[in-house]
Amino acid sequence: MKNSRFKVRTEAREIELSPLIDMVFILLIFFIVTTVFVDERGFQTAQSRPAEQPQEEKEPLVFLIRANGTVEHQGRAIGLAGVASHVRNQVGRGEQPILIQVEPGAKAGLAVQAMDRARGAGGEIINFSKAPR
Amino acid sequence: MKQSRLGKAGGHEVRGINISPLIDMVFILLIFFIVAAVFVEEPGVEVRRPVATTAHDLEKNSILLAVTADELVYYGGDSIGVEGVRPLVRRLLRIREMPVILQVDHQADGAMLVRVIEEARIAGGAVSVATQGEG
Repeated sequence: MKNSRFKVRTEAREIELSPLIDMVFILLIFFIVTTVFVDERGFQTAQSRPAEQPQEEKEPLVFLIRANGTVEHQGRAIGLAGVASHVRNQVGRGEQPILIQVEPGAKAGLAVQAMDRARGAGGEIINFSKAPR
Repeated sequence: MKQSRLGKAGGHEVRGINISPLIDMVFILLIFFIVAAVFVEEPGVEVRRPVATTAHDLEKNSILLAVTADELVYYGGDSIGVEGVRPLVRRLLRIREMPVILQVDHQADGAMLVRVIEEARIAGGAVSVATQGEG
Protein backbone atom coordinates (compact mmCIF):
# COMPACT_ATOMS: atom_id res chain seq x y z
CA MET A 1 0.00 0.00 0.00
CA LYS A 2 2.62 2.43 1.10
CA ASN A 3 4.86 1.47 -1.74
CA SER A 4 2.26 2.15 -4.42
CA ARG A 5 1.45 5.59 -3.05
CA PHE A 6 5.09 6.56 -3.22
CA LYS A 7 5.29 5.43 -6.79
CA VAL A 8 2.30 7.53 -7.87
CA ARG A 9 3.79 10.67 -6.40
CA THR A 10 7.11 10.37 -8.17
CA GLU A 11 5.50 9.75 -11.49
CA ALA A 12 3.12 12.71 -11.38
CA ARG A 13 4.20 15.45 -13.77
CA GLU A 14 5.15 18.81 -12.25
CA ILE A 15 3.01 21.81 -13.11
CA GLU A 16 4.81 24.21 -15.45
CA LEU A 17 5.62 27.14 -13.16
CA SER A 18 7.80 29.36 -15.33
CA PRO A 19 5.05 31.65 -16.77
CA LEU A 20 3.75 32.24 -13.24
CA ILE A 21 7.21 33.12 -12.01
CA ASP A 22 7.78 35.44 -14.96
CA MET A 23 4.56 37.24 -14.20
CA VAL A 24 5.38 37.54 -10.52
CA PHE A 25 8.77 39.00 -11.40
CA ILE A 26 7.17 41.57 -13.69
CA LEU A 27 4.70 42.56 -10.96
CA LEU A 28 7.52 42.76 -8.46
CA ILE A 29 9.57 45.05 -10.68
CA PHE A 30 6.51 47.22 -11.33
CA PHE A 31 5.86 47.68 -7.63
CA ILE A 32 9.51 48.31 -6.83
CA VAL A 33 9.68 51.01 -9.49
CA THR A 34 6.42 52.72 -8.51
CA THR A 35 6.78 52.56 -4.74
CA VAL A 36 7.27 55.92 -3.08
CA PHE A 37 7.87 55.96 0.62
CA VAL A 38 5.97 58.94 1.97
CA ASP A 39 6.82 59.54 5.59
CA GLU A 40 5.64 63.00 6.46
CA ARG A 41 5.24 64.37 9.93
CA GLY A 42 3.38 67.56 10.69
CA PHE A 43 0.09 68.88 11.97
CA GLN A 44 -3.29 69.72 10.63
CA THR A 45 -4.70 73.22 10.49
CA ALA A 46 -8.19 73.78 11.86
CA GLN A 47 -10.98 72.81 9.50
CA SER A 48 -13.55 75.52 10.18
CA ARG A 49 -13.91 78.04 7.39
CA PRO A 50 -14.95 81.57 8.29
CA ALA A 51 -17.60 81.41 5.57
CA GLU A 52 -19.24 78.38 7.19
CA GLN A 53 -19.28 79.84 10.68
CA PRO A 54 -20.45 83.44 10.46
CA GLN A 55 -20.79 83.84 14.20
CA GLU A 56 -17.95 82.37 16.20
CA GLU A 57 -18.90 81.16 19.63
CA LYS A 58 -15.65 82.35 21.05
CA GLU A 59 -13.33 85.18 20.22
CA PRO A 60 -10.08 83.62 19.00
CA LEU A 61 -6.76 84.19 20.66
CA VAL A 62 -4.88 86.23 18.07
CA PHE A 63 -1.14 86.24 17.53
CA LEU A 64 0.44 88.44 14.91
CA ILE A 65 3.65 87.42 13.15
CA ARG A 66 5.40 90.58 11.95
CA ALA A 67 7.58 90.81 8.86
CA ASN A 68 10.56 91.70 11.04
CA GLY A 69 10.23 88.44 12.94
CA THR A 70 8.52 89.55 16.13
CA VAL A 71 5.46 87.82 17.55
CA GLU A 72 2.80 90.15 18.92
CA HIS A 73 -0.27 89.64 21.05
CA GLN A 74 -2.64 92.56 21.60
CA GLY A 75 -0.02 95.01 20.39
CA ARG A 76 2.78 93.76 22.61
CA ALA A 77 5.80 91.86 21.38
CA ILE A 78 5.85 88.56 23.29
CA GLY A 79 8.28 86.44 21.28
CA LEU A 80 7.88 82.75 20.44
CA ALA A 81 8.24 81.75 24.07
CA GLY A 82 5.35 84.07 25.00
CA VAL A 83 2.95 82.18 22.73
CA ALA A 84 3.05 79.08 24.91
CA SER A 85 2.39 80.94 28.16
CA HIS A 86 -0.48 82.96 26.69
CA VAL A 87 -2.08 79.87 25.21
CA ARG A 88 -1.68 77.99 28.48
CA ASN A 89 -3.39 80.78 30.38
CA GLN A 90 -6.24 81.36 27.95
CA VAL A 91 -7.05 78.01 26.40
CA GLY A 92 -7.11 76.17 29.69
CA ARG A 93 -10.68 77.37 30.11
CA GLY A 94 -12.50 75.43 27.43
CA GLU A 95 -11.95 75.19 23.72
CA GLN A 96 -10.72 78.48 22.46
CA PRO A 97 -9.66 78.83 18.84
CA ILE A 98 -6.27 80.32 18.10
CA LEU A 99 -5.62 82.52 15.10
CA ILE A 100 -2.12 83.17 13.82
CA GLN A 101 -2.08 86.23 11.61
CA VAL A 102 0.87 86.42 9.24
CA GLU A 103 2.13 89.68 7.82
CA PRO A 104 3.43 89.61 4.24
CA GLY A 105 7.18 89.18 4.38
CA ALA A 106 7.17 87.17 7.60
CA LYS A 107 8.92 83.82 7.47
CA ALA A 108 6.64 80.80 7.11
CA GLY A 109 8.93 78.89 9.46
CA LEU A 110 8.19 81.34 12.25
CA ALA A 111 4.43 81.02 11.73
CA VAL A 112 4.64 77.23 11.82
CA GLN A 113 6.82 77.35 14.92
CA ALA A 114 4.29 79.64 16.64
CA MET A 115 1.64 77.03 15.82
CA ASP A 116 3.89 74.33 17.24
CA ARG A 117 4.29 76.27 20.51
CA ALA A 118 0.55 76.84 20.72
CA ARG A 119 -0.09 73.13 20.20
CA GLY A 120 2.50 72.26 22.80
CA ALA A 121 0.67 74.46 25.30
CA GLY A 122 -2.65 72.73 24.68
CA GLY A 123 -4.11 74.66 21.77
CA GLU A 124 -6.15 72.51 19.42
CA ILE A 125 -8.10 74.68 17.01
CA ILE A 126 -5.37 76.66 15.31
CA ASN A 127 -5.64 78.57 12.09
CA PHE A 128 -3.56 80.85 9.91
CA SER A 129 -4.84 84.02 8.31
CA LYS A 130 -3.58 87.12 6.61
CA ALA A 131 -2.75 90.05 8.83
CA PRO A 132 -5.33 92.84 8.62
CA ARG A 133 -4.18 96.02 7.01
CA MET B 1 31.33 11.72 -30.64
CA LYS B 2 28.11 13.16 -31.85
CA GLN B 3 26.17 10.18 -30.66
CA SER B 4 27.45 10.39 -27.13
CA ARG B 5 26.39 14.04 -26.87
CA LEU B 6 22.86 13.21 -27.88
CA GLY B 7 22.71 10.09 -25.85
CA LYS B 8 21.14 9.33 -22.50
CA ALA B 9 24.19 10.40 -20.54
CA GLY B 10 23.63 14.05 -21.65
CA GLY B 11 21.20 16.72 -20.28
CA HIS B 12 18.46 14.27 -19.39
CA GLU B 13 19.76 13.17 -16.08
CA VAL B 14 20.92 16.56 -14.85
CA ARG B 15 18.60 17.58 -12.04
CA GLY B 16 17.06 21.10 -12.22
CA ILE B 17 18.08 23.49 -9.46
CA ASN B 18 15.39 23.71 -6.82
CA ILE B 19 13.96 27.18 -7.29
CA SER B 20 11.00 27.03 -4.91
CA PRO B 21 12.74 29.04 -2.11
CA LEU B 22 13.50 31.70 -4.71
CA ILE B 23 9.87 31.83 -5.73
CA ASP B 24 8.78 32.02 -2.10
CA MET B 25 11.09 34.93 -1.52
CA VAL B 26 9.91 36.73 -4.64
CA PHE B 27 6.32 36.29 -3.52
CA ILE B 28 7.13 37.75 -0.11
CA LEU B 29 8.87 40.72 -1.73
CA LEU B 30 5.92 41.17 -4.07
CA ILE B 31 3.44 41.19 -1.21
CA PHE B 32 5.60 43.66 0.71
CA PHE B 33 5.73 46.08 -2.20
CA ILE B 34 2.01 45.74 -2.91
CA VAL B 35 1.22 46.55 0.71
CA ALA B 36 3.75 49.41 0.86
CA ALA B 37 2.73 50.91 -2.46
CA VAL B 38 1.46 54.45 -2.16
CA PHE B 39 0.61 56.14 -5.41
CA VAL B 40 1.39 59.77 -4.76
CA GLU B 41 3.01 62.43 -6.87
CA GLU B 42 5.93 63.93 -5.04
CA PRO B 43 6.41 67.68 -5.38
CA GLY B 44 9.84 67.11 -6.87
CA VAL B 45 11.63 69.86 -4.98
CA GLU B 46 13.54 69.70 -1.75
CA VAL B 47 12.41 72.11 0.94
CA ARG B 48 13.70 72.70 4.45
CA ARG B 49 10.69 72.14 6.64
CA PRO B 50 10.18 74.15 9.83
CA VAL B 51 11.24 72.41 13.00
CA ALA B 52 8.40 71.36 15.28
CA THR B 53 8.11 69.19 18.36
CA THR B 54 4.38 68.42 18.49
CA ALA B 55 4.14 66.87 15.03
CA HIS B 56 2.47 63.53 14.44
CA ASP B 57 2.50 61.15 11.48
CA LEU B 58 0.41 62.27 8.54
CA GLU B 59 -1.69 60.28 6.10
CA LYS B 60 0.40 58.55 3.44
CA ASN B 61 -2.07 58.89 0.59
CA SER B 62 -2.14 62.64 0.25
CA ILE B 63 -1.82 65.49 -2.16
CA LEU B 64 1.71 66.74 -1.63
CA LEU B 65 2.31 70.40 -2.41
CA ALA B 66 5.58 72.23 -1.83
CA VAL B 67 6.16 75.93 -1.28
CA THR B 68 9.78 76.87 -1.86
CA ALA B 69 11.77 79.74 -0.41
CA ASP B 70 11.51 81.65 -3.70
CA GLU B 71 7.69 81.53 -3.50
CA LEU B 72 6.93 78.86 -6.06
CA VAL B 73 4.29 76.18 -5.53
CA TYR B 74 5.21 72.74 -6.79
CA TYR B 75 3.17 69.63 -7.48
CA GLY B 76 4.44 66.53 -9.25
CA GLY B 77 7.64 68.22 -10.39
CA ASP B 78 5.91 71.23 -11.95
CA SER B 79 5.58 74.77 -10.71
CA ILE B 80 1.83 75.38 -10.64
CA GLY B 81 1.67 78.76 -8.90
CA VAL B 82 -0.84 79.80 -6.27
CA GLU B 83 -3.57 80.06 -8.92
CA GLY B 84 -3.07 76.40 -9.83
CA VAL B 85 -3.70 75.06 -6.33
CA ARG B 86 -7.48 75.36 -6.26
CA PRO B 87 -8.26 73.61 -9.60
CA LEU B 88 -5.64 70.94 -8.90
CA VAL B 89 -6.93 70.06 -5.43
CA ARG B 90 -10.53 70.14 -6.64
CA ARG B 91 -9.73 67.78 -9.51
CA LEU B 92 -7.79 65.34 -7.32
CA LEU B 93 -10.42 65.32 -4.59
CA ARG B 94 -13.07 64.44 -7.16
CA ILE B 95 -11.11 61.26 -7.92
CA ARG B 96 -10.51 60.32 -4.32
CA GLU B 97 -10.96 61.92 -0.90
CA MET B 98 -7.58 62.63 0.68
CA PRO B 99 -5.86 65.30 2.75
CA VAL B 100 -3.48 67.95 1.46
CA ILE B 101 0.03 68.08 2.90
CA LEU B 102 1.93 71.32 2.46
CA GLN B 103 5.70 71.09 2.50
CA VAL B 104 6.67 74.66 3.19
CA ASP B 105 10.21 75.96 3.30
CA HIS B 106 10.96 77.71 6.55
CA GLN B 107 12.34 80.67 4.59
CA ALA B 108 9.20 81.05 2.47
CA ASP B 109 6.90 84.03 2.82
CA GLY B 110 4.26 83.45 5.48
CA ALA B 111 1.65 85.23 3.37
CA MET B 112 2.28 82.68 0.62
CA LEU B 113 1.69 79.89 3.11
CA VAL B 114 -1.60 81.46 4.14
CA ARG B 115 -2.72 81.91 0.55
CA VAL B 116 -1.96 78.30 -0.42
CA ILE B 117 -3.75 76.99 2.69
CA GLU B 118 -6.80 79.12 1.87
CA GLU B 119 -6.87 78.04 -1.77
CA ALA B 120 -6.61 74.37 -0.88
CA ARG B 121 -9.31 74.75 1.75
CA ILE B 122 -11.68 76.48 -0.66
CA ALA B 123 -11.22 73.49 -2.95
CA GLY B 124 -12.34 71.26 -0.07
CA GLY B 125 -9.07 69.86 1.22
CA ALA B 126 -8.06 69.30 4.83
CA VAL B 127 -4.69 70.98 5.00
CA SER B 128 -1.70 69.83 7.06
CA VAL B 129 1.71 71.44 7.30
CA ALA B 130 4.74 69.16 7.08
CA THR B 131 7.49 69.71 9.63
CA GLN B 132 10.68 68.01 10.67
CA GLY B 133 12.02 66.93 13.99
CA GLU B 134 14.92 68.65 15.69
CA GLY B 135 18.35 67.97 14.25
